Amino acid sequence: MNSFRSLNGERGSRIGLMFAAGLAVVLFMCLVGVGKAHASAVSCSGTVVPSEELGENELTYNITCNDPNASNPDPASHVVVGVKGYSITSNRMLNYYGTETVVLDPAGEAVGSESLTCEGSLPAWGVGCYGTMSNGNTVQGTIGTEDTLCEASTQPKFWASAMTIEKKGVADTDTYVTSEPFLLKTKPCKILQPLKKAKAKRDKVCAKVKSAKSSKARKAAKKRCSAAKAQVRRLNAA
Amino acid sequence: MSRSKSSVLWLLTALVALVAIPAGAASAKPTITLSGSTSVAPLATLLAQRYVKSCRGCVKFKLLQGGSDVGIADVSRGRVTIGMSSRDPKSSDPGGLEFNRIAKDAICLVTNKANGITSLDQAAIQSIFGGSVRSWSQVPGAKQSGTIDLITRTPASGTQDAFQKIFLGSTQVFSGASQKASNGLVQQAVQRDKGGIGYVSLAFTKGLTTAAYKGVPCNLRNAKSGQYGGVRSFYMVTRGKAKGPVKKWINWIRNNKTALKIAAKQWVPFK
Repeated sequence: MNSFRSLNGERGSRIGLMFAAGLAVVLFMCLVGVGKAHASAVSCSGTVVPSEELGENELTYNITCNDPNASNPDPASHVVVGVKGYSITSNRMLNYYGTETVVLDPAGEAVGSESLTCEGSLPAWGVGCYGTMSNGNTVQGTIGTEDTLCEASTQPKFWASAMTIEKKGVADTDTYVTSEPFLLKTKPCKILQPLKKAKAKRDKVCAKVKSAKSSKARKAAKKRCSAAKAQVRRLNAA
Repeated sequence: MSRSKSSVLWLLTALVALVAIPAGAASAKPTITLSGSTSVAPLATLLAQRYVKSCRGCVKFKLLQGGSDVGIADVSRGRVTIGMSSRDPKSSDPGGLEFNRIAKDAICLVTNKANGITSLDQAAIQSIFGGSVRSWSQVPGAKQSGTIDLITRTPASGTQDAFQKIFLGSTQVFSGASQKASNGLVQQAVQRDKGGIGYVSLAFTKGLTTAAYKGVPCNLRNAKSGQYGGVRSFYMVTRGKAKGPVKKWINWIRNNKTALKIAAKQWVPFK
């Protein structure tokens, strides 16, 4: 993937990303095939939302894995008893991650005995976390994107893959199984690349000031130009 | 593990390894690898984030944790370029290491909000953590009356070392204490346990009651002014004198206004 980046600039990184995404799809298709052999009914899901109390471009994520059969382990089939770790990948470059996470029980209370710690590279397309979390609990952590979330040509996407702990009955030893990749729900951007678009509009509108043929037209163009400049300033400040 | 599960694991490992490769690995940018203190890690992550931005991606970072002792052992063996330590150098540390101080941090004694211990003197701390006082009913100011649940850190922790040195002196921690591997775990354990007491880095006190030490509340203002006694140093440990990109980064942390501002949010900056 990184050899694509060396092509220089965004185009190279986008091609690299498309390649990785394509390969992910191929691998995912393979996984769907072999995944059928799984006896457990674990389902993992999660969300990513902008964090208001944290710094710029920071996001809070939640991941939970739940196996409805976990409370009644059957010696004949595997059930998920917990999560040992997870990784998050994105189509946005990450330049921050919270090193500590919080594990919440289904009632939303912090679970004192469980936590996952995150480690990885900066900047990178993903981060990995390890620790312990019981079936049905939710892990909450933070990540940060290098650029503003919506300042890209595609909608933001975040995927996760969890390593679950499975058992056949209570007495069985732990077996670690990596889940299929799942998409973390994210609110789509209403406008993609708002700053880039606002700058383009400013350039276009302001160019008309010089080319205006009458003083009335010039006055109107100046007004539109200053409004467009103000919009760029607002977005830059945000 | 069944063959199908093994296949899943291999495929997923390949996928994650491919996608999670740090960007620009082929462009030969220097990589600074760090491991060690879970107290230093949150600050190091924030500093790395800002440094990459300000030097326009001149360097990449790879950050692992494990505790101060792990970081010191890793850097001495050349496994990482920087060991993060939240404790002072010890005579038992390997030779040839350079402890570069980057900031200071307050260690706060914390209890559950329902208990709300607001002040503890050194004698009380030593009695509680030494195990001679085992019930909250024996502790003045406690709203709880049950058994005291001691939550401490694992021996590899720099916070544990600093706590022992600053707060306990020669008193040994009670053997029945529950040991946690990170600040975050202590924070969560005390948050959950009404009878719990522990100690954490100032950055991990959210949702807990902090107790004043020797009559001085544990907060950033008192840590910065030097009034609070429970302050320890954060170090970036290098093998020999820091060189090249590591030296540049450490100098940036110590001198750059933005870096000092980041550190000042929850820690005591270098200057």
